[in-house]
Amino acid sequence: MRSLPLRLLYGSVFAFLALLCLLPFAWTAILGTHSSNEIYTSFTLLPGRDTARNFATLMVDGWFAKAYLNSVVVTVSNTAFAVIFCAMAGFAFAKYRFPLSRVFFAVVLTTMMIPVQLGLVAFVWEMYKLRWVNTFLPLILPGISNAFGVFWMKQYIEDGVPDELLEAARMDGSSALRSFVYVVLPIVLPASLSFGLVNFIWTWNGFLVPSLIIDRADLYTLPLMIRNMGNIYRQDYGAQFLGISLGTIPTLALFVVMSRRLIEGITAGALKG
Amino acid sequence: MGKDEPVQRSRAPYVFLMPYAVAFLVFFLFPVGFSFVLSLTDWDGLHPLRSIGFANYGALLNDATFRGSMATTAIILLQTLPMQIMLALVLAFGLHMSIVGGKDFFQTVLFLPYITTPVAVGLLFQSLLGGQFGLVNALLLRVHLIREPIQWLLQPVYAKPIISFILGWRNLGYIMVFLMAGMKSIPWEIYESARVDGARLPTMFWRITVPLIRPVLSFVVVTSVIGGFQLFDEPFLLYQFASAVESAVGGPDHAGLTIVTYLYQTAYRFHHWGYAAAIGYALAIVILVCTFLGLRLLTRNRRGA
Repeated sequence: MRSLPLRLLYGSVFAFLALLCLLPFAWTAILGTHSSNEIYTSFTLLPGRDTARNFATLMVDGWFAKAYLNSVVVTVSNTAFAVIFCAMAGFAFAKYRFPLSRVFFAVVLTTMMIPVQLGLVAFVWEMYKLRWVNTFLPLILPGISNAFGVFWMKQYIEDGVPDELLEAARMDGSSALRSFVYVVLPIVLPASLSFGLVNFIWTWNGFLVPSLIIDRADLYTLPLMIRNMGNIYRQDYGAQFLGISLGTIPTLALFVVMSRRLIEGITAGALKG
Repeated sequence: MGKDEPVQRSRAPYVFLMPYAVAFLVFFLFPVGFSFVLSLTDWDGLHPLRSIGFANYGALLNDATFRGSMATTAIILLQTLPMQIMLALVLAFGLHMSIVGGKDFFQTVLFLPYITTPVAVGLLFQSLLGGQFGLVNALLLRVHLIREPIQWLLQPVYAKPIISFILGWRNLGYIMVFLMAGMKSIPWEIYESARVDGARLPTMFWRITVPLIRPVLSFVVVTSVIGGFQLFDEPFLLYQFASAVESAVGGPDHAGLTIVTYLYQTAYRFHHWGYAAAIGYALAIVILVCTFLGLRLLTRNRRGA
């Protein structure tokens, strides 16, 4: 029943789509190895020999490296905070009953449906008032209020951490915090890893909020840097393309290495609901 | 121990919730609430707040650019979503039923655009479609389909198809992966018994897969609509250098101006923050209505089938 024509049709459609998905990346990577002059004057799909020079151009004033470092700082701290505090909130919702706990959780779920743009203007206003403009705090701390993360952690802790285990820990005189660190966290580590990956990629790619908060070049995150490369490395397209490639490498690499976990992560959290 | 019984009675849950609750108040609830207040002012980012009542909302109704951005976003979504979801469904079915091999490979490769930095994607397509040395023109010239380079980014006609293509390209693999995850929960026995009854693949697709995957499908439709209305990074970057003059914001003749791009320009470039807050609320209402209608449509179809 899986006829040959059907298999061929599917095979060619998938091959075409795979090509369509890979070609732009390959093309960017290739252009990053050419000089601006070559890019302008000739068309080629073969790698050039100017990678080192383009790299030197990117590195010469330190802006690009600084942006890379900024993105690492922002993304890693945002993700660390998000994972820890969402796990804590998820634990509270999963294993405790307290007044209005169901109402609170319903509120958390509702916020997942509200677009960020709704609060964007007042968020910026608030950051002005707090004098947090041109700091990383507005890029790091909002990660804690990740409704998706709380929902996710709650699901995993509910299913994965037996009540008996918590009860036993309590009998042994373990405080709630101690139980959380030594009983709950080890069990939900795989789930934390999936959520952390998703959060890492979101934060790394973030553009709208950073562009409203940061306007100092030494504080640019990578997406802001990529956006402004046209101004900073004017006319030097080879360097710009290399910059795009380098900027997308961390998320691509993470994904290729851990694609199965990431896909599971992205879908499982949503499909359980 | 049942779920509804208290596991432990203590202050502990409040302590665990505290960081999230504080962040929720400061970074979500207050901004969302206070944005409405700001939408009733003419705040320009500098001067003290001054109430102007609902003037921003009134102006919004008469703002041709805003209406244009609504229409643009809606057209882009209509051009993209139905085809994209249908294609993703057929592709996911193919991989799920092992009609074609290389499941992990195709899943990973088709997912790549989704996790790529959107800003880079916008710039990438800007260069792919560039008039001088863009790959698209180079290929078309080489196979003699065109004689002169096409100015993809300078002509309004191409704006919506290009953005639709990018949106489709970016999310196809994501939607496919979601639908595949949904298909995994359909028991094989159903397909087996259908096969025994002589059902062929198309029959299985329409009679088993599509109806049983409907909850996931609704989820995908709703999230796609919500995400689609928030479209910003890619079209913004695509046209950022083309929009050096005010009239060309969002591409030639505003042809690629999405709602969020307009919100961003209003706030960030023209410093009409109060007006931008009103755009944000209008956007939220549109998303709410569309989500509701989308769900209604899907559930009504089920009853009809």
